[in-house]
Amino acid sequence: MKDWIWVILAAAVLLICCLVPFLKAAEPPQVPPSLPQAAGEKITVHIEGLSCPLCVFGVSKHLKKIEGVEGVDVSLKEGTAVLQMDPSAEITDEEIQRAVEKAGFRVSKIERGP
Amino acid sequence: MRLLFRQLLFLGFAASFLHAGPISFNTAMPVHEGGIVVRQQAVWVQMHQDPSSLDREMDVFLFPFTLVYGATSNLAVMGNFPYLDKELGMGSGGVVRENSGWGDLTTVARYEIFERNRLGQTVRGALFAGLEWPTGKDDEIDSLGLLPPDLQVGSGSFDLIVGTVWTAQWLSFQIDADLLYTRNNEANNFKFGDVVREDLSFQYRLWPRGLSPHGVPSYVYGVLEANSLYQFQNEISDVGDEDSGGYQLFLTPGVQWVSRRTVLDLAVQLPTIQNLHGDALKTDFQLVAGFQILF
Repeated sequence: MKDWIWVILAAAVLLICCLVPFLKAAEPPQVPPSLPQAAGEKITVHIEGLSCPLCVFGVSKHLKKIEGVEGVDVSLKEGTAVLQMDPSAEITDEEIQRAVEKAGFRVSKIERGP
Repeated sequence: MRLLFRQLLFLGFAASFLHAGPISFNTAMPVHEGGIVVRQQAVWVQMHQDPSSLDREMDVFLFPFTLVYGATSNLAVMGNFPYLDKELGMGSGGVVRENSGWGDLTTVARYEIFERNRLGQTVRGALFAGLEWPTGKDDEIDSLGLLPPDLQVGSGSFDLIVGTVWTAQWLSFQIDADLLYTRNNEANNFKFGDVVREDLSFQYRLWPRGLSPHGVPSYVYGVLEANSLYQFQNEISDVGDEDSGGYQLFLTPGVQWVSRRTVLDLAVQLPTIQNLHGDALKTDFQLVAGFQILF
């Protein structure tokens, strides 16, 4: 087998090793659960079907696209996404449901709080 | 040439809808609408068990590059474009024949037909269909003349792929199963045998052992897969080649690291049963490593 194959394989492994910390750092930062509530309304979205880290990426991405959503904190164990809202923004339950469905999941309940 | 080789292309294809999940084949988990998955794998296949007296040894390196796009939450489309490097040695005369280049492009659409969600668990079922395009060269020659079909990087034919895949996923483990049929067509008076493939995968979360109520940790899965593959005889000018085709069963232990956007995986496919026809070369192992990034 050609020597360059081994060079490519070694380079690929090296690339993967180098990418890991970068990609991990590039992932969306999680909103600390202790974020001050005064920042705006908190909406807790109960989502059925969330069961792996990759599922969370799509859900977070679509929820963040909703105007007024400033942060999304997902709990895999609880199956919830807590939306930190811009105080001046208003979003409907339908918008939230649509965003979650675009990620391939279903909303079972939406709770709104201060 | 009498090799059961087409399985390699299926590995390149079948691993393409991965959303974590299996390493060596498909999953029914959704790619979110507008989402793109980029996947690169490296596969090394060693086939040094020659039942004939020719003392043949074959090594294949396959680098499948895959793009998956979530057209809707139910429909995903995929393109798989492999780079191949093949080398066949004949021990007795020291003859070596080799070839490398871009192989056949495979395009597949997968549509979700079943979905059931509960807290922390989901069950999905999907159908998929696709076409393998003859983009790879199928008429390469070396000093000994035209390379045999198994040493070409392209098949020369349009080939149809249909199948179904099912996934059941919980917070701590996941089970996937698929069934795939490939209808190969004739090119240059040669037809690769059709292929029926079944796969089963079990992934268990090794780390973290427990989940915090807050946040989304990265997972490390231990993976065990079984890959069952039957290939019908190849045909040369409509006559069956009795030294081609047969049944193979692989057991595939592996490990997988999964974060929100990235997956790294490593597995080795070990042949457990190889009932190949005639003098077909047998596989020693297949080593699979890869990564994927979700956008």
